[in-house]
Amino acid sequence: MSAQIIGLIIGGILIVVFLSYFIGIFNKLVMLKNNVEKAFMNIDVILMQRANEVPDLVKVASKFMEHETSILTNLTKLRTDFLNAKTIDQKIENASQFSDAMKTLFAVSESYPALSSNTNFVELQKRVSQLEDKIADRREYFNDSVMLYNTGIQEFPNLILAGLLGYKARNLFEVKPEEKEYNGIQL
Amino acid sequence: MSIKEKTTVYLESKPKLKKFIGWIVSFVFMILFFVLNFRLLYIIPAVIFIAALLPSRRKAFYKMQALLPTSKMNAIAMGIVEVEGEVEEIEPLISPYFSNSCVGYLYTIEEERKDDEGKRTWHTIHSESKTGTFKMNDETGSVTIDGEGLEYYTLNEDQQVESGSKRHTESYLKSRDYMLLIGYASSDNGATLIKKDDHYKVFGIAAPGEISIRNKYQPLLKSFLVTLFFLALIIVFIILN
Repeated sequence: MSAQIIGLIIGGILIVVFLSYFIGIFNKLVMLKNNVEKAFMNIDVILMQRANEVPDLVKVASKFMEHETSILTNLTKLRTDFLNAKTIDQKIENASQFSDAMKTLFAVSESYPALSSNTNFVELQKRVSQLEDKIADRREYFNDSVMLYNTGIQEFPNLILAGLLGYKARNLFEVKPEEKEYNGIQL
Repeated sequence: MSIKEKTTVYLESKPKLKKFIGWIVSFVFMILFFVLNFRLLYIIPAVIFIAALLPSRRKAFYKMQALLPTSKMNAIAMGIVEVEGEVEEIEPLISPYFSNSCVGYLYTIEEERKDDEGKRTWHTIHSESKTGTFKMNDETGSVTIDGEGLEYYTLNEDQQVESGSKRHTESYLKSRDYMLLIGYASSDNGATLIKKDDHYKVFGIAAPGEISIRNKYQPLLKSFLVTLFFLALIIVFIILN
C-alpha cells in the first residue's frame, strides 16, 4: 500500500465526513425553518378566522356606536392590512395591533348597554374571545419554534451555511406585559 | 421460578473456543500490522467514523426531539409533533406473559447459554411490542394516539421471571405514566390523531427525565467522538511516517 493510496483513503474519508456533516447541518436548518413556517400556519388559520368575524362585528356595533366610527374604521383597516400582508413578520405586527383594536372595541362597548346586551354582539364577543385564547396557546409553540430556529442559525458552523442560504433571524410573536394579565373577555 | 422487578445484567464471558478464535484473530492482526507497516491501524478511526454514521431509529428519534418544540395538546399543528403529558388508557391490552393490564408492552424472551466454565449468557430469541389506542393529557387538553407501530425507548416498569433456561421480561406503558412522544399529527374527523409517520418514520415514546439527561451529556459525547476520530487519525499518520 503506497503512501499515495493511504493519502487518497484519508482524503476520501475526510470528504465523506465533511459531506455528511454538511448534509446534516443543511437538513437541520431546513427542518427548523419548516417548523417555524408550520407553527405560523397553525396561528394563521386562527388569525384568518378572527379577521372573518370583523364584518359582522362592525355591522352590529355600528348600529349602536354611532360616535365611535374611528374604532370601527381602524378595525376594518387592520382586517384589510391582514388580508394584504405577505410575510410572517407583517402578519405578526398586524396581529398585535388587531388584538389591541379588538380590546378597545370591547372596552368601549361597555359604555353602550344596548350593544353589550345584544345577543349577536355577545355571541361574537364569545367567539373572538375563544379565538384569542387559541392564538395565545399557538403563539407559545410558534415562539419556541422561532427560538430553536434562531439558535440553530446562529450556532457555529451552522451560521456559515445559514448565511449562504439567506436564512435570517425571525421575530418572536411578542407577548405584551399587559397581555400576560389578560384572561380573555369577561362576559 | 424467581421474579425480579428490574432487569438483571449478567456479565458475558467467552467460552474457550471463542477465546481461542479471539487469540488467533489478534495474532493475525498483529502479523498484518508488521507486514503492512501498521497501516491497519487506520481501522480505528474508520470504526469510529462508521459507528457515528450508521443510522438508527433511536438516533432519528433523539435528533428529532432536539429539533422539535413541545406542543401543547390544544395547539397541535398537523405534521410531525412532539407532545409531553400523562398517558390515559382507552383500549387496555393484556400482556402476553404476566397478563398485566397495560396501555402497551414490550415483551422479550431470552435463552440461557452456558460456557465450559459454567458462566451464563442470555440471548434474545423473541421480542415483541404492542400498543393500543390511548390518550395523552396536559394542562391544556388531550390528544388521541394510535399506538400501532409505537417504539419504546424507555419505559418505567419492568417485570422479569426466569423459567428453566428461559427468561421472560415485560416492560409496560401504563396509565398515568408521564411520557414524551414524537409522531405524526393528522386530522381524524376533525379531531387530532397522532400516529406513525410514513415520511420521517419516527414514532416513539420515552421518559422525559431520561431525555433530559441525554440532552445534557450528548453534546459532550459527540465532541469526544469527533476529537477521538481526529486524534486517532493523527496518531496513525504519525506512526506510519
